[in-house]
Amino acid sequence: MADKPPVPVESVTKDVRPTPQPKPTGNPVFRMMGMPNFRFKLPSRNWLIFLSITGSFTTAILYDRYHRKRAQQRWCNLVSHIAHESLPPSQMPRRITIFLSAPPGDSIRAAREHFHEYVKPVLAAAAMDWDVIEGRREGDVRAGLAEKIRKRRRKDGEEPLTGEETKPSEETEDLVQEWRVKAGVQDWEGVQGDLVLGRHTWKEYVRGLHEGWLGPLDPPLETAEPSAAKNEASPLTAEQQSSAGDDGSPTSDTLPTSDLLNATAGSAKPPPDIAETSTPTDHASPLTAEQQLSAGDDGSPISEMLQTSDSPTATADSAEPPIEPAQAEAQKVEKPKTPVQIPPYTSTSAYSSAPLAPTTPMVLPPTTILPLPHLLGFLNTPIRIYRFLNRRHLADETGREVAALVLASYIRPWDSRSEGTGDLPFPGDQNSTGDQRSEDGASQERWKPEGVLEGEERDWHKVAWKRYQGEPERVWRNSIVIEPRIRERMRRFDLPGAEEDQARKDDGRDPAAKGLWASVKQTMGWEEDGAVKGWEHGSVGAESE
Amino acid sequence: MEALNANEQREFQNIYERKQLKDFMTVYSRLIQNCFESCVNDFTSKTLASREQGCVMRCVDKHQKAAERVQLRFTEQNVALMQSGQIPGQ
Repeated sequence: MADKPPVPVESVTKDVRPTPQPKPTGNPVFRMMGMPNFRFKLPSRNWLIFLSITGSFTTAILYDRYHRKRAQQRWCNLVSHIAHESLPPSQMPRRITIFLSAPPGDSIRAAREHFHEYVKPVLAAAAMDWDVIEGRREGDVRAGLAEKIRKRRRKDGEEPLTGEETKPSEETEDLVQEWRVKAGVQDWEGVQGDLVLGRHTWKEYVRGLHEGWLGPLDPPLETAEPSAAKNEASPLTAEQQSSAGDDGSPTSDTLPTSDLLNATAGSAKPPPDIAETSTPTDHASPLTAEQQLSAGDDGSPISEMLQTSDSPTATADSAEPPIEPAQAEAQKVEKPKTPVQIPPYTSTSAYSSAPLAPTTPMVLPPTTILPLPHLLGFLNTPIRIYRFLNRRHLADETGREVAALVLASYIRPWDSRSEGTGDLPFPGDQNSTGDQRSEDGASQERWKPEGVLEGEERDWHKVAWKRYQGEPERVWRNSIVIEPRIRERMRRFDLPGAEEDQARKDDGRDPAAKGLWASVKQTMGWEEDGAVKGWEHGSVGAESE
Repeated sequence: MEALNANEQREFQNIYERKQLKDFMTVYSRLIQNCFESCVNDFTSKTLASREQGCVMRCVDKHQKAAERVQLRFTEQNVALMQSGQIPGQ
C-alpha cells in the first residue's frame, strides 16, 4: 500500500500542475462566513455623480441648519434672563404688537410661517406676550393700525367733530380692560414696542400711523372717488388669489354689480361705506346682482340700509335689511367671506394740512422692522435654492433685531445711522452688493424710514404693481410719505454694541440641553452621584427641574 | 333652588359643601405632593434641610401665584361674558 500509490500520484500531479488552484481572494473572514466576495472599489461613474450631487446638497442643508440653530440660540440665550424675572400676579407682562400681512401674490401663511420659524423662538425665550394685527389683503394692516390709534384717541378723551355720541364699547377687550382697572391689575408701564414683518407691512404701518394720528376721528362723509371705496373688497382679493395674474374675469364680474347698485341708490346720496358693505366679494354672480337690484327697486330695504348704517365698521350683517327668507338666503350667500376693510380716512397729500391729534404722545411706540424675504416664481428657482441654503444669515439678522426689541435698552430716533440689513433683499446676499454699501451716496437713504428694506420690493410679485380699474388706494405701490411731525416722533430699537458682542461670544448652545453622552449616562445610572437610573424614573428629566 | 323644600335644600347644601371640600382637598394634596416630590430628597435626617425648606417655600409660592393669576384672568373673562352676553373671543 505504501509504495503503490506514488506511481499514479506522480502521473496525476504531472497532469494537474498546469491548472493550479485559484488563489483565494477577498477577506478571509468573509470567506469563512460564507459571504460573497466583497471587493472594495469605487462605484461606477454614474453612481459617483449621483452620490456627489445628493451628498453635497444634503451636507449644505445640514450645515445651514446647524448654524441656523446656533445663531438663533445665541440670541435666545442673550434674552433668556428676562424670562426668569418674577412678576407680581397683579401686573400684566409686557405686550408687544406684531404686524403681519400676506406678501404680495401669496397668502398670509407665508408670513406666519416666517414668524414662527425666525421670530417666535426668540420672543418665547424671553417669555414675551404679544398681540398680532394680521392683514390678509393689501391695506388690512393699515386699517387695523389706524383703527387702533383712533380707538386710543377716543379713549384719551378726544371727541369726534360731528359731535357723535361716544357710547361705551361692548368689545370684550374693553370690558376686560375696564375690569382690570377696577381690580387694580396694572398694565406694563415700560415701553411696549411694535414689530413689523417685511417691507410691504412697513409701508402699510407707516400709512396707518399717519392715518391714525393725522386723520379725523370720524369717517369722511364724501369720498373723492367713490369707485375706489366701492371696489375695495373685491378685485384685490381676486388679484391676490390669481397668482399668475389672469384677473380679467373677476373684475369684470363685480363691476356691473356695483354700477347697478350705484344707479339704484344714486338718488339717496350714499355714504361711501354703503356700497362697500353690500358689494359682494369676487364670486359675485349675476343672480346676486339681480337680487340687489330688486331689493333696491322695492325702495325700502336699500334706503333703510342707507339710513341705518352710518359708521364704516358696519359690516354686511349689521346692515342687513329686514327681508323675506328667500332674499335672506341670497344675502347670506353674498356675505363677504373676508371682513370688510375700512377705507382710509385721509390721503397722503393731505398730511401737511392736517392737524395733529392733540393727544399724540411725544414719542410713538418704537418699532423693529424685520426682513421677510419672499420670492415667487419658477424661474427664480436658483435664487430660491441659494436663499434656502443660506437661511442662517437670515436667522442671525432676525434674531439680532428681535433681541434688540426684547431688551429695549436702546431706542433711537430714525435719522441717525446704524448698521442694519440695508437694502439687501436677503441677508445672505451681502457679498454681492455689500462692498458699495457704505460708499454709495444713496445709501444714506436706507437709514431713513422710507428706505428700510427697500431691496425687498425687487422680489415682489407683479400683482403688487399692477393697476386695474377702480382700484382702492394701493399702499404697496405708492411710495412712503412721512410727515415731519410724525417722523420726529418715530423711534426704532437698536442693539448696543456691548450686548451684541456678548451674543457673538456665546457659542449658541442651549444651556438646558444636555449632550447625547450626558443623557445616556443619566439613563443608564452611570452618574457619579449615584442618582436613580433614568429608565427607573419613567420619563427622563421631564419633571426633575 | 326655589323648587326644593327645606329638607331637600339642606341636603343639597350638604352635598355642595362636601363637593367643595373635596375639590379643595384635591388641589391641596396635589400641591403638597408636587412640592414634596420635587424638593424633599434627603431622608438621612428627620428634619428638613435648609435647602429643602427654601425649595418648599418657593414651590408653594409659585403655585399660589400661578393660581392667583389664573383666577384673575378667569374672573376677567367671566365679567366680560356677563356684560356682553356672549362667549369672549368668538
